[in-house]
Amino acid sequence: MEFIDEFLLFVTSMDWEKFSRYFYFFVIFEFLRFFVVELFVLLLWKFTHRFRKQRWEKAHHELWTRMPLVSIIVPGKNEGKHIYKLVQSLKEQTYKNFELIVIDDGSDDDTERICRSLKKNGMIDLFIRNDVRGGKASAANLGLRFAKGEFVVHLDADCSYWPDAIEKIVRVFYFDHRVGGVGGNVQVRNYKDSLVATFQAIEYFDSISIGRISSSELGIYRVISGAFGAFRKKALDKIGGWDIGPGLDGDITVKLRKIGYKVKYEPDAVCKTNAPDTFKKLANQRLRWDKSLIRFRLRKHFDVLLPSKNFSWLNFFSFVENIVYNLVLNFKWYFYIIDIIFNFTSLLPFILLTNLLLYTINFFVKFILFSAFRLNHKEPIAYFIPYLPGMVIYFGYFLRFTRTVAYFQEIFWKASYKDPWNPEKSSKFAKAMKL
Amino acid sequence: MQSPVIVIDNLQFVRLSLETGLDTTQIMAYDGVLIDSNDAPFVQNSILSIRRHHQPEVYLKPIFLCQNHPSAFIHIHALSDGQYIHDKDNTLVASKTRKIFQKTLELSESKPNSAYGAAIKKALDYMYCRENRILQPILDPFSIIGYSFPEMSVSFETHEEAQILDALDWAEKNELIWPDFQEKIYVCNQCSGGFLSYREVCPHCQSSHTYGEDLVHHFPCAYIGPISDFTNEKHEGLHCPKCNKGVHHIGVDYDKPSVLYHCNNCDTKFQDLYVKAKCLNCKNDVEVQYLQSRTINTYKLTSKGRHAITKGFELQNHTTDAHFIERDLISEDTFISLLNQDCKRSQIEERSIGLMAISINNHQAIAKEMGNYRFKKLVLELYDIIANELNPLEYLYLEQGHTFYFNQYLGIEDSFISIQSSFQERLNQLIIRNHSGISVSMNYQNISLNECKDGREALNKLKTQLN
Repeated sequence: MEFIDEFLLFVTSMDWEKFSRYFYFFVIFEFLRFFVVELFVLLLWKFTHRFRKQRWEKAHHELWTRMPLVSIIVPGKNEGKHIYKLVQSLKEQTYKNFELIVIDDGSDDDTERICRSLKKNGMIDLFIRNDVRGGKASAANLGLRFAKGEFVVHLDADCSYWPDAIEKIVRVFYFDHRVGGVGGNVQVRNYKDSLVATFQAIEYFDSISIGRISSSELGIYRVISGAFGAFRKKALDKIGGWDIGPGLDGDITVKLRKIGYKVKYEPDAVCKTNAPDTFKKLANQRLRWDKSLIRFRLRKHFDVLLPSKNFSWLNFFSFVENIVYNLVLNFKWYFYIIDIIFNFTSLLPFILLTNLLLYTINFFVKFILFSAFRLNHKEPIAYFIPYLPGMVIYFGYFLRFTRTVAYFQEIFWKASYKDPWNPEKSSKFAKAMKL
Repeated sequence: MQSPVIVIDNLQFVRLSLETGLDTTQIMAYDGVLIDSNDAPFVQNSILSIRRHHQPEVYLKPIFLCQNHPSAFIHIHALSDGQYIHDKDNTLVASKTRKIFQKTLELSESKPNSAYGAAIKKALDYMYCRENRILQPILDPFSIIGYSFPEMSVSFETHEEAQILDALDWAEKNELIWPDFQEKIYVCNQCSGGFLSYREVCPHCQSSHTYGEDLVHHFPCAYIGPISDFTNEKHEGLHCPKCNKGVHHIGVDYDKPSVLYHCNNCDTKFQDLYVKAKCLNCKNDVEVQYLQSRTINTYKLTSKGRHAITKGFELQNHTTDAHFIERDLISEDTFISLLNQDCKRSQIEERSIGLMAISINNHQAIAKEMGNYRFKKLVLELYDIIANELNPLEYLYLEQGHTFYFNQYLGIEDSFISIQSSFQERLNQLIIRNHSGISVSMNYQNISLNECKDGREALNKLKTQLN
């Protein structure tokens, strides 16, 4: 009781100056960037939506008039068990003028047998099997090599797609002819399977889905998801397709931007995927993703930050925003904690508790307020509300800690080149050539 | 001119030459035959005429060649008993002739009632009289299957060589002969032709106008493409089109993970070339999994075979398909006789007896797709399925190899429906298990025997219904 009284006294006696001193990290970096700015952009996006309606209708008409061939590339290893469902999902698509290219990257299960059977029955247009695994990038490039379509859609075999997903994602190319790549709206299918899957579903709702709407509007959208991304074929040919991963999704997005193409996010093109269902699997996935920030932003594409003939302020801003908010602030948070510990030792419990409350309230308000902008979600919002307090721990501690480990591993040991996700034979070249 | 009769060790031999010609009826009067000619066709025709003769006194006669015939005709040596070139051969010739004669005395005079039975008996008689000679297959470009059994081939035309295998299979199943594996061959499923042209074809348009290219994976930049992507006029060797670097060492900076084929005819790309076999005899073009597999064995007489030859044996139902022999198929006449009894029984005892028919509608299409041999196996499997459904009072008749007729006791509709559904279910399982990809369309009909005065009328009525 005494602690509560003291805590209430701490809160009520706090003026604006003290508040900004104790919680500057929350106010400046979390609240302003991820709440105020995003809300502003979303409102702007909503407001201007009606003015774009006619342009969207024109794009829709142009798509259905031209009926371009779309090449759907599905690279993967041991994905045979998912392929039949994927094919069924694609059969239901409203846009039918596509060719389905499946690349088997050295599977050692019955993927080859399943795919050859589907090919024989006309459900796959081109099936190519590599007896030796070459990695996801090479498999995707092989699909690209034989793609005949004007647009290329890259899919993951374990995902399913809404019936109008292909139509919606390709339509963007007619909305803006300078667009070279479009990312689809990836949602979590198995959100009820485990606590970690539910957290990820909320994360996809907010920071990924909503965050991508605003970053796309701002022109700084960074990662076209490998699970569902569409590309202009000539743009892919120009950049030579995918380079060695992990993190090839973000890499190809940067490559497109560097040669002058716009990259957009399309929330109406919905894809469902299974998220990792244990914290261990999630940690492995995020370690891989987070390492790519160091590898691709700070090493391979560092030239984006330097003056050159292809310099673009938008790309510069996108990189800076990415580096500041994901890398700098990640470490800054530790400094903030140290600062609080050393300078406000006696107030530490109150500051931490207040921080917890602020973040929780922020999550609740943001989650409910942003529901107005959230598109194409069938999941009941109420289902997620009880889990929102846990998001502070998930975001604030689990993901932050994972990210920190990833950054250290990549900065000091270049761990991404040792990731078994990519075959060693390719990774050693990538490391040597600083790719 | 030499005398046409030669006596060797008190045995009389007739000497055949171009001058004397051949009169098979006269041969019976001699102990053996000497063929004295270097004219291979004459020798060949003479031997075949003797061995093809229907009377054992002629076709078993010892034949000796007075001149060398190095591989002029592959059957000459297999169907003759040796050479008589020098006087020093006298003893051997006389001895062989006497032994053959002694053996012929042991043969039973039973006469098989079919052409195939006669062919088997003839070959077995010949083997027995030649000291249990082994029946040897010979590579034969003139035989439709590529092999011939000279002792059997004399009874068949060259295009009927596959039927010899059926006959030998039957003799083997009856334990008259014992096989020793020599070769497994694949023959056309339509005409049993063994001369096949194997071709790799496009799985889409079946054209063999295809070419294949290695796919090359360049490790540093993850580019994969056909090897032609890596060659250009500017650079020697392989050069990556994506990163513009030389590609040097396989396994180090690149590998070849697979091969991709391209069809020049339909412009498709694929990795799974189909292998098809074109029969040079009937021009049938068939996927290799539908080819008929046959085993080529050498055969020797078993003790049961020797017993059958000397004591007589019944060779029944020698159809061209040895498999059907085992099923105790009844003839139409027998079936009608049995139906007559059922008609009377149904009228006298007022029992409800039905006559059912199950016909394969698309039998011609299936036979064309599967080949005759596999189609017959399918029919046999269907036969077994129906036969298993019948009780001891019911009997099954197979007409023209695709329509089954059988009588059915108990309530007609109920039992017919149940047997129909049971049959259809088992048929579906059979197709899935053994003949996937084959579409079988069945026609089920039934009538009541109470409405018919006799079996003939009932069968005709049902046939009309089927049509």
